[in-house]
Amino acid sequence: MSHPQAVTEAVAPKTEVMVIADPGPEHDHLIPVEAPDWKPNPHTLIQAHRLVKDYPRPRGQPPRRVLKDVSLSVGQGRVHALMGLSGAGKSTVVAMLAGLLEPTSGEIYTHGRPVEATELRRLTSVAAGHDNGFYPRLPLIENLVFFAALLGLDRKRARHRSREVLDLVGLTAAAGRTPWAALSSGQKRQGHLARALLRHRPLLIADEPTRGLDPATEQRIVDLLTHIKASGQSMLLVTHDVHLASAMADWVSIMEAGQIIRSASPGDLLHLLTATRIYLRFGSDPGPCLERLEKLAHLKEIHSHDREVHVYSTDPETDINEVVKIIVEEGAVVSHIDLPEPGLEEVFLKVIAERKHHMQARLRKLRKEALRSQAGH
Amino acid sequence: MSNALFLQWMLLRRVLSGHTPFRLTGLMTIGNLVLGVGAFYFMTVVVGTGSARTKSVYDLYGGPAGFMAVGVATNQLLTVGMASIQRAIADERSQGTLAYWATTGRHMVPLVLRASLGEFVLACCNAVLTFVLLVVLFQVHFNIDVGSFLVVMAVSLVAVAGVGLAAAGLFVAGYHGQNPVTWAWGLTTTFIAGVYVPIQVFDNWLLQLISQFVPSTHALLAMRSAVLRHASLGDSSFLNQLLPWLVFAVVMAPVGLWAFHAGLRRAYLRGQFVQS
Repeated sequence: MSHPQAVTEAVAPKTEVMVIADPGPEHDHLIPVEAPDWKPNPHTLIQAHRLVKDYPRPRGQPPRRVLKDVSLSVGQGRVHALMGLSGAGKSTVVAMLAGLLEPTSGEIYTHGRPVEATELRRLTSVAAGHDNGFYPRLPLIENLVFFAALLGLDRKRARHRSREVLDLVGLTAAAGRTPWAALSSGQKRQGHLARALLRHRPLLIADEPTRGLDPATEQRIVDLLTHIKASGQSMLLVTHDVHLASAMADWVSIMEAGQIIRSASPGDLLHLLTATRIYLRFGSDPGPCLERLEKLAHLKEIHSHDREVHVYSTDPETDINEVVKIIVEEGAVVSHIDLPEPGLEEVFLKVIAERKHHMQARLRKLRKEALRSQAGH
Repeated sequence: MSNALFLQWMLLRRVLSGHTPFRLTGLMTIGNLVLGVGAFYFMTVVVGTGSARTKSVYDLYGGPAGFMAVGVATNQLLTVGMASIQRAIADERSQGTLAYWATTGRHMVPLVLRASLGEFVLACCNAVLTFVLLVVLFQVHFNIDVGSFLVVMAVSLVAVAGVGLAAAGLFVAGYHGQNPVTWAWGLTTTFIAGVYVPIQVFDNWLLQLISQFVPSTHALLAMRSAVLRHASLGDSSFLNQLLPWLVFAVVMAPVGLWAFHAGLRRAYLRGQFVQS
C-alpha cells in the first residue's frame, strides 16, 4: 500500500505540505466554534464548521432541519469516530464531507482554507455502509476493475490494484469471482472497503465498516483499519460499534438528533463516568419503585424510559443491595439487572440517555405550559 | 488498449451484464426485426397505393418501403439515443452507483454520454440489420450520399444528446416515473412527423402546419434525402430540410447541458446521491 502522506502532498498547496505534526481535533476544540475569533486551523486536514442542513418541505411548511450546527475535525493521521444511533445525522455529515451534499450553511476547510464540494470529492474516499452501489450481476472483481477504470487506471493497473485490494480486505479470489448480488452482507462491507482503497485519498471515511460481519471477519477488518491508521491515513469512522471506536479512535463525537452532543478524546469521555450505572429492565410498571430509587443514598442521577431504568450511583456495590431490596418490597417484576463495566459503551449510552431524558423533560414542561395556557383562556 | 477504450469497454460490459441472457435477447431482437419487416410489407400494400399524391412523394424517395424503413429506423435511432442517456442515469441511480461516479472527479456529461453509447450502438446495428433484410426481401434500393448522411447523423447526434441530457437532468434531480421528454417526442413524431406516410397526405392544414414545427419532421426528410435520393450537400432542397433540424440541435445542445447541470446541482442540494 503506498503511503497516504504522498497523496496529501499532491493535493495540498505547497506551503502546507511541510506540516508534519498535526495537533488534531483536541487543539481545534480549544477555541469554541461559536466564538467570534474562531479561525480554521491551518494544520488540520478537514474541519467542518457549524454545518446546517435543511430540506424543503411542501409549500407553507417550514424546512426540515436534519443537521444543526455540526462542527468536527480530522487531523492528519488521526482517527475521528462519529457515533450515534440510527437517524442521528451521521450519513448526512458523511455525504457533506464526501462532497455529495451541499450544506445549507456552514463551511468545510482543508488546511485552513475553505474547500468546495468538487475538491472534497478528490480529498475523500468513502467505504459506504449499505448493500448497493455495485453492479449486481457483475463479479466483485469486475466491479472493482470497472471502478478502477473510472478512476483513470489502465487495464493492467486496474486489474492488479483490484486483486490487491481484495486481498487487503481479506476476500478470497473465489469471492472476487462471485456476482455482487450473491455476496453475503459481510462480504459486501468488505467490497465497499476494497473499493474505497482503490485510490489513496487524504481522508478515508469508513461508514459502519464492521456492520453485519462475523467475529473473525470483524477482527480482520479492525486489524486492517489499524494497519491503515498506522500508515498515517486519516480516517473518519462512522459507527455504532463502540468497541471499534474504542480500539481505533483518537477522538470521538457522539451525535443525536442532528447535533453533536459530546466530542472529546476517549479518555476524557471516560471521565464523564463519575458514577456507575445499574441497569434495570422491569417486567411491570416501574412507577412505585422509581419514587424509592430516587432516594438512594449514593444516587448521582436516574433516567427512565418506558420499562428501562438507569440508576447512576457513586457507590454501586452498596446501592445494588438497596435496589434489590426495593424491588422485592414493592413486589415488582424485573426481567434483567446489570452492572456494566465502565467503558466507551457506557459513556455512549449515558450521553444518549441523558439527552433523551432532557428532551422528555422539556416536552413535559412544554405540554404543561400549553395546558396551563389553555386553562387560562 | 488505451485508457479511454478500456473505460468504454467496461461501460459496455456493465450494460451487457444487466441484460437478460444473450441468446434470449438475440432471439427477441430477430423476432422484432421480422415483425418490423412484415409491418413494412403490410404498410406498403395498404398505404403505398393510397393516392396519386402520396405515390408521387414515395416515388421521389424510391418507393414506399424505403421511405418507411428509413423513417422508422431514423425515428428509432433518435428515440433510443434520447432514452439511453436518461436510462443510463436512472439505472445508475437505482443501483446506487451514481454516487460513486460523482466522487471519481470525472466530468459527468461526457461520462453519461459514453455510458449511453452502448445502447445507441446496439440500436444502430438493429437499424442496419433491418435495412439488410429490406434489401434482400423487398429489393429496396438505397441511393446514399455518404457526405450528406454523415452530416445528418452528426447533427442528429448533437440534437439527441441535447434532448437526452435535458431528460437525464430531470432524473438525476430525483424525478421518478416515465420520461416526459421522450414521451412528448414519441407522441409528436409518431403521428405528425411523417414516419410512415409523407406529411403531404394530411388534408388538414393545421396538421400540416404543426408538423412543420416538429423537429423530427425535418430530420426524417433530410435523412431520406441523404440515404434514398443521393442529395448532395449542395442540394438546396436537402439544405432546406436540414436547416430547421440543425437550428434545433444548436439550440438543444446548450439547453440540454444547462438542464443536466441544473439537475446535478439540485441533486447535490437535495441529497439525491445520499444512500440511506
